[in-house]
Amino acid sequence: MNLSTVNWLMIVVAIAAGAPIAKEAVTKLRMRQFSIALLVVLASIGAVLIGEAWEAAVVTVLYVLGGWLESRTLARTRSALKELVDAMPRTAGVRRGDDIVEVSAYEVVRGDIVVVRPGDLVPVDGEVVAGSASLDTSSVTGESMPMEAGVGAQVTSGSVSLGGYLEIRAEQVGADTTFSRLIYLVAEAGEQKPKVQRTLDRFAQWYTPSVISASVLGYLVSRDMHLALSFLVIACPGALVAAAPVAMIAGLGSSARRGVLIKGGERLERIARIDTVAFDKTGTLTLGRPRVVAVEAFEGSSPEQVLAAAASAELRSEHHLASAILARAEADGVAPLPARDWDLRPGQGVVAVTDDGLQAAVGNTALMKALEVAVSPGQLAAVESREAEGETVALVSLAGRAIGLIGIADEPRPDAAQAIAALRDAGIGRIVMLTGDNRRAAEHIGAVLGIRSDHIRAGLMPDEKVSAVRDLQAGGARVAMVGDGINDAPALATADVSIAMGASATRAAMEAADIALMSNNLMRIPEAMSHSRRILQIVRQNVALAVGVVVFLLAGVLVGRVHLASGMAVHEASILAVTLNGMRLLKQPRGS
Amino acid sequence: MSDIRREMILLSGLNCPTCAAKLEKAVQSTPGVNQAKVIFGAGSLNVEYDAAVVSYDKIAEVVSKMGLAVTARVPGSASR
Repeated sequence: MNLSTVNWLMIVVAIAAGAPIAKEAVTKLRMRQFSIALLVVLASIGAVLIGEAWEAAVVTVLYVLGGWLESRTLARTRSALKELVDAMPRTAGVRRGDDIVEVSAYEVVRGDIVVVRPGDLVPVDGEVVAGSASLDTSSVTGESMPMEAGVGAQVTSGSVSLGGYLEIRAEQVGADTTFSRLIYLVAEAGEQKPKVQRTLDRFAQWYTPSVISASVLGYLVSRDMHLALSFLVIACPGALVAAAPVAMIAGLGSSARRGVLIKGGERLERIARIDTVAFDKTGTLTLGRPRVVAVEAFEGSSPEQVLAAAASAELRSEHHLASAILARAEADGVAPLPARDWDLRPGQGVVAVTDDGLQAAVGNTALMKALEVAVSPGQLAAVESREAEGETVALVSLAGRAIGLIGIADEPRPDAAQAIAALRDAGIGRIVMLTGDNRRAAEHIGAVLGIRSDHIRAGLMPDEKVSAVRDLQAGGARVAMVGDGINDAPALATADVSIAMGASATRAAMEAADIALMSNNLMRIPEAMSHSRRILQIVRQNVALAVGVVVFLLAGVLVGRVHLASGMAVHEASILAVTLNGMRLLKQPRGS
Repeated sequence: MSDIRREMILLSGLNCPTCAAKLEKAVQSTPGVNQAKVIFGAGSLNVEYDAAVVSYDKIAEVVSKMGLAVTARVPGSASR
């Protein structure tokens, strides 16, 4: 085989591989679009003309191969989002009279009663009005433990019924469901660019025209066609523009599958700089469900009498402690004394008159004083020792005599201590608790969870939480605030980074927060913070790699060491490298 | 009567960021389309259009002319 045969063979390869590229270039030209394909075709034709047919062959083959590999890897980085979309409910069984009609999930209207059978996806957000079922909420919340839903429970679209039967009154339908919004927010978050990428975009904008001008100028000055063609091949900004978005969508998509919505963009940079995490207490660090932990009877009374008297007084109270007392009475099988004439005294307690004409009262020492009920020093000591344990203590009196006390406490979430330890491990130096509750209750929870007492601010009104966050910032701290998104909304908005919990219940919080947790799993917070840092790290690596490759190629072409084929090879390899690097973020964040 | 709809259209074949910018321009200049935004990372075309003026099929046609295929449609909230 002589040289010219090889040459002809190379031309055939170049034409075979180049034909689809040329077709693409022509199509785009017809739409008055200047494309990379056109550059490649021009460079290849030029190479053949100057007798470098093998370069034309390599350039075209690499371009086609590279394109194929890129589409494969890009599809992978986008798979996390695609999986969310695939998990969306498509149809719904709606009750119409006695019939159940199968309709598209987008045809359900608010107020419709939707029927969910085993294996069905819940198609709406709403309240269960009949039946009960075990629901797998993992595609929304990322939690693997099934949720038991009965009448009155709030359920979200995208949950899967594992068994049972549910009728749900639709509250949010179609595109307004939490799940649908989640998908939109993930996609939009991927588009938010961190600062580092915005700088790069500006660079990429002038890069291509500059390199093409350099190619033309270079030829005019040096009459070196080879140099000019090499410049054409490296003029595509591929890796520069793809560097950040591919990493972002892989990272944000994979965390969304774990029920953690991280908004992208410069928030990632803010999250990476956080050194202080401030927690709301009630409902965030604690379960937010006060429970009776002690019923203590004073001399001459029984715990049942204490509970019965307390329950009768609390029967008409809306106070959150009342429901704890009534729940305990019901659990213990104690019937409240029949009563009438309730008198609610804000800040003190409740007084009622039983059907026997006796006065029953539940409240603090101030109430007892106001009612002139004697409380002995020993009884007072019992109250104080319980309060030191973080309990809220209510004294109970019947017919003017103190008969006992009830201790109520809100327990820390089971994973709260672990989450705080993990945050410290992740380099968060300061954990702060901001609460409207009293100092003793706050300090007790703080001690259990390992929060220093000088990092606890108690007795705060919502606007005082805002100034507490400002105080921290004034001291140089970069603060992330964790709250439920309702009472804490002002403080969340003030913090450098807002983290809303249990976002499936509060849509507004999901839209506004920088990080929204779809479950109440506190361990997701340290996970989200380290995952955000990892995304930013990989974005930065990609940016550095893309810029490095461009500098290398430009320098290489100028000194005559990079030619058409090697230029194309390095260029395609760099796009693959940033995509593959971004794919590392698909691996689930570490942790439980 | 206008009938404003929003949709997120997931695409396959959206492999180069420059093509993404071009798709965005092409869809944006289609009559009846109020807003078109291509999210390269997500591989999606987020579009707001007036269904009384332009049909989804017309938009899909623009997409396929660019050599792209639709893999999924996610209707968006009309109120936002």
